[in-house]
Amino acid sequence: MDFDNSQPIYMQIIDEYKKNIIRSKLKKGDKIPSQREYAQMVRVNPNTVQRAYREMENMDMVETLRGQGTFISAGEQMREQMAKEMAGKVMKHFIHEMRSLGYEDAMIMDMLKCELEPMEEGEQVDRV
Amino acid sequence: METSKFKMFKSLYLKDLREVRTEILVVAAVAIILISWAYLKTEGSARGIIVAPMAFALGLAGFLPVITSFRLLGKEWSNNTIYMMMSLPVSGSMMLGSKLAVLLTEYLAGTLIVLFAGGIALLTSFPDIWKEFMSDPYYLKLAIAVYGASLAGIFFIFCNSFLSQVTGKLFKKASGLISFLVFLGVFIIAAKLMPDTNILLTQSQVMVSCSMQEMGAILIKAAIDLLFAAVLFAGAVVIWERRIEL
Amino acid sequence: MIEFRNVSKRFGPVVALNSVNMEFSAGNITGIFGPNGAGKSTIMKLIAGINYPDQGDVKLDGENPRAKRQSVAYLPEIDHLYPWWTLRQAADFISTFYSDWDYGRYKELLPFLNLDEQMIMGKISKGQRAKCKLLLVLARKAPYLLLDEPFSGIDLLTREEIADAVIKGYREGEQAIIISTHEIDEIESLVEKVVFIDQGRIQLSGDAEQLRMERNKSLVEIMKEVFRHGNQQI
Repeated sequence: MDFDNSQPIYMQIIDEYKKNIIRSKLKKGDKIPSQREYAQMVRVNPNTVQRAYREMENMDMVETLRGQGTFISAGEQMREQMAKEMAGKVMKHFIHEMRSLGYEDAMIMDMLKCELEPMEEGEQVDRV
Repeated sequence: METSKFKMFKSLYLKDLREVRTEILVVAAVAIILISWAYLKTEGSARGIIVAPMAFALGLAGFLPVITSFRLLGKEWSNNTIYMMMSLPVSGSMMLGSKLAVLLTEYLAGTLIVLFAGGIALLTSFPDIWKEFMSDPYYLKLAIAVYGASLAGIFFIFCNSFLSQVTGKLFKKASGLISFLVFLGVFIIAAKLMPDTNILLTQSQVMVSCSMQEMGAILIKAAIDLLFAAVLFAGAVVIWERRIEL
Repeated sequence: MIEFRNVSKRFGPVVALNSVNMEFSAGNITGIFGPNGAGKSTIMKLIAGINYPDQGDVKLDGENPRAKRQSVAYLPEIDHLYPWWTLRQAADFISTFYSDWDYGRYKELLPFLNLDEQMIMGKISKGQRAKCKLLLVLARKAPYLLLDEPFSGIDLLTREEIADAVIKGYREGEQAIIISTHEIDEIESLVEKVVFIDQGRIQLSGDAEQLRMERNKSLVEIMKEVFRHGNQQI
């Protein structure tokens, strides 16, 4: 996983898990790597991973069972909520950026439609 | 891992012992070749000439460790291994003490090999002299005293070498020149402080004392050398521990 | 804990450190960033007890660093291993001096770093030697680990191996790792605390994540900004 070093890394770790849950790559009950494994896997300070995991526990996204590991605890309801939240954030960011370039809302809509058309033929937005 | 002062000293000693192996072998080879050459080329009383190659080999056995004393310490800097040595959790006295032990080993090994090889050659050539030597324990005691005095003398030189080198290392520029000047200066000061026991002339004075069979003079000389050596060593340790920087 | 209190150090006319105050505590990986000659190595040497401050105090757990050498694993920038040593001989030598030496960890890290015990220090590549040096400090469970420019002159692949080994060897909560480098890229995500130093002065320090959050910039970008700003003052 490549991080954007201009953003806090623990937030990017959380976002990565959120995306995987939203896309149902990870489901409730799935075991995720231990903090140590994950730190080694993505070459990140173990304390940063710990912070991300702790926050995810606080959000009830994951739970750690003593001696067994860490598991996804987010259910369907939370998945939908997270999807809405993340999509909303992306949209807000997009709109904000477009407006700052001077585009009127109507123009943004037109451009969106135009851009989206080729994608309707089965192209996946989904990139890993 | 269990650690102990003894293990640490042993590690340091063995590491540096490697540096003197060649010199010991050179002394042994020179002594054996020269002495056997003199032995085989002569007969009868002419074999007294064996003393000459012995003296030469002894000189070499005494001289090489002095050169080594400069190399042993200087090499730590030139190899950058001084970074390893200075950061080890050992005292300056253990660090310099282990090097002193290595130098002592070189001196002992070299001189004893020469004395042993020459001794055998002389013994087989002049059994009578040997008998006379062994008949009076005073001769043996005198021989041991002389050897002991030479040890004290070489200790003094080693410690002077250490002190002058660490002093030189306090200066970024001309550190070699400063070392050399300190080395000479210590000899001069020591000679001034003790006019009757001119340390520069250690060996020849011992020879004179020896021929006059003045055991007392030899021992006093040795004691003074040792005292000086101890002071120089302590000075070198203090500089090593408090002043040397990398 | 390592404390610097008003520490100044000069080498002849060159000011290496100019009244530096800082602290390093256990359980952190700190990056000391700055251009060449900024004073990074001097900080490391002061902690390792092979330099002494001209002014101020450096304390390790409240004591003089030279009295605490047992607690420090120091990887100098310079090659400090005997050229005739095999890796195993180096390990055996070092193990006699430190009670925290761990042969199990040494054996575990050997294949991880693609090293062989019989390698001779004077006959291997710079990258391999860098890994040997790293192995020899990581095989100790030292409370303080100092890595001075562990990446300088090392190829990209080896840099990644080194970064991986540092994470693998890091013992959370117990150990303080201090890495000095002028190549932040390699360890951007490895460090938790950062100190930016230039011309012997701390220009900026803090929590890496906090800085990213506040400035929306990577550490590399922050360094450029800090040093450009610093240089303008002259």
